[in-house]
Amino acid sequence: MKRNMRQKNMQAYFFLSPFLIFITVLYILPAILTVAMAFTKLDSAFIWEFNGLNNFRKIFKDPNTIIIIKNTLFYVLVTIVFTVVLDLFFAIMTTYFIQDERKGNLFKAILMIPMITPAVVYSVLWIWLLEATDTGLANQFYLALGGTQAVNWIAQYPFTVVILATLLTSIAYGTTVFSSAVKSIPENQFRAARVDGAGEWEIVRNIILPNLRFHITFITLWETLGLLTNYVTIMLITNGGPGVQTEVWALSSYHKAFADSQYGYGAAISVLLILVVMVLMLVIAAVMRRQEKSQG
Amino acid sequence: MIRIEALRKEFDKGVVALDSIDLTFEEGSFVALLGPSGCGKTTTLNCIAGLLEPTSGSIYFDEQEVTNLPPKDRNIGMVFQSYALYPHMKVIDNIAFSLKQKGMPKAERHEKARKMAQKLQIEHLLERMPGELSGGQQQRVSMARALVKEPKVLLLDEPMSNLDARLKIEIRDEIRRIQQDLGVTSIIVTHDQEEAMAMADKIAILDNGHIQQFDTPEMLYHHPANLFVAHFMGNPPMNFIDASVSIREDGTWLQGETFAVRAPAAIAEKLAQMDGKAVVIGVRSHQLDVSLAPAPETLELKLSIVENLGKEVMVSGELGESRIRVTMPDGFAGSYEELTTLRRQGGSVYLGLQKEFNVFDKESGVNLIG
Ligand SMILES: Nc1ncnc2c1ncn2[C@@H]1O[C@H](COP(=O)(O)OP(=O)(O)OP(=O)(O)O)[C@@H](O)[C@H]1O
Ligand SMILES: [Mg+2]
Repeated sequence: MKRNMRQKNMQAYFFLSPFLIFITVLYILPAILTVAMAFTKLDSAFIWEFNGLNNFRKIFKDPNTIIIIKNTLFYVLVTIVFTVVLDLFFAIMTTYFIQDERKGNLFKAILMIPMITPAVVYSVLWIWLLEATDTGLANQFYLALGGTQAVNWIAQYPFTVVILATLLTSIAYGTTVFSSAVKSIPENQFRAARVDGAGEWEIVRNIILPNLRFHITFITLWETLGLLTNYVTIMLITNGGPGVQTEVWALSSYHKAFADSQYGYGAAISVLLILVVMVLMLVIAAVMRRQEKSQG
Repeated sequence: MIRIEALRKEFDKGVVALDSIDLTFEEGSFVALLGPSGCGKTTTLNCIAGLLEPTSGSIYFDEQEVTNLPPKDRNIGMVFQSYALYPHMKVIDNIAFSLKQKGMPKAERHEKARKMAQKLQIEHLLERMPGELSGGQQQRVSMARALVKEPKVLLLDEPMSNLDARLKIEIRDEIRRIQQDLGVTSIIVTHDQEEAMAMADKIAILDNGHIQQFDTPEMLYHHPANLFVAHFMGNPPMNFIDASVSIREDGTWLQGETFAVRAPAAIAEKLAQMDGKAVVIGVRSHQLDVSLAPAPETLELKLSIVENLGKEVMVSGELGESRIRVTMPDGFAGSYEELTTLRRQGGSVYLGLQKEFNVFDKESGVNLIG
């Protein structure tokens, strides 16, 4: 019996090993290289010269660093709050209030469109939409509604645009997760609450939200992780500008490494990010363990 | 008092779950809704609770019409099949939830919850979460939650289907005791006829969205209104024997393929106009006389099983098309050993109908006597 189990385990490892090797080669090795690189002066000359903690010192001396941290926090916090609130709103609307499953699913499919659109296409769409001249769609509306002059939306409200664009791509995932969580609440709990005198809003507050508390924690952490590391939308729409107005941590690492060819310096910036991300991942793991325990 | 008039419930796609339901439940009585799966028990209960809107018909609590009132304005307590406790609230908050919705201050509602918990002997569980309770304990918590608001009506939807047999009987008695203590009008849904008989003052038998009979357990058992009820009630089930009515000068006879018996006067009277009608005789296993020797006006039963049930001996066998079970009457002349020997030899016993039995119209299933 025991031996059988072990053999079964061995087989599982055997089948998993190609993936483990792949992940090692493609992700873990680069990660180690990045960490190593963070302690060198590596630049366009490509000389691996160890320079201790100089890169990190440089980060803290750079006057832009504080702006970038503020930008990152602002970007992540605002996007997260809106994402989670909208996720909950859409999930509860489409699964609890709209009883017709087909209509609810259609709506969710529409929400999914920004997520499955390639980032480049999607960003170009925003740029085109918000074009600064009279011909831009947003400006046409604006002028039609009584605006006097075409607005350069992206330059004027860079963070609003970036956050709006990111938001639209991120609501589908959380909405899907929350929807299935709402659906898994036994119908009788709603009935019991109704009989106990709860109105719809009280059911949302007292039954649905508490039932979703682990999902909410999970999505918050998960989306935070994504927002911290994924900078593609920002890069394509504002590229951190104007100036450093929308420069966030991950994007600055990219800029330092690939725009300024300061590979070592860029690596040091991402190492700090990796540390934050790792802490977040540990928290996620802990949350999921606690959830399993409370449901088991 | 609860009065249901001409209630009809139609779901999407024309599924008619309930049709022309008329019921009146006396104040303080305990009523069971009994019937096979899918017959509309839960639908009836949900209409009374206000969780479903009837397609037509009306429901009154006393003289107040509640047909279109939401559940929260009906003052009902409800116990659900899988208890439906709120998993993220402590037991005490589960019980006090309805009081919280009424805006009662915390200290007061906890006090009330505690009192109700005392009644149900779950005071020691108040600080636990529902996930940390056994099935029986959850059951009691959901009872306490339903009763704490002092409801006008208590509704129970298969409240014991998740409990093991022994606990079922314990909780059954408990529910009955509390119901009588509080005098709250109660309706229980069940598909277990024994449970219904043991608990309820009156039972409504449903089939296919229609009330088949609404009566006391005793009446249902002895005078089923039709073949459906007769089949449904009682364990062992009633015996059914095909026959036809034959009115002759010497009386009213029930004529079967292999027998002919004269109907007792009371029954003959009911069958007076029915010469030639195809009927089904319905008789309980203990309502038959048994003898070992053939006699006039008896039914020959070829023995196939003889069982010693401890308190009594039961035999069964074939009579024409139908299978008949008979409990040996107290004064029976033979013994268990005699009967087993007789069975081995392929022998028969002879059954005599007593004064009381039922006769159903074979075509419509209606009880012609009751
Ligand atoms: N929401 C619904 N939509 C459509 N049909 C329904 C719905 N709820 C119940 N029905 C149908 O109505 C009929 C009665 O259902 P109901 O739940 O009242 O049965 P029940 O007597 O409680 O059965 P059970 O003993 O299995 O719980 C069934 O045929 C069922 O399929
Ligand atoms: Mg049911």
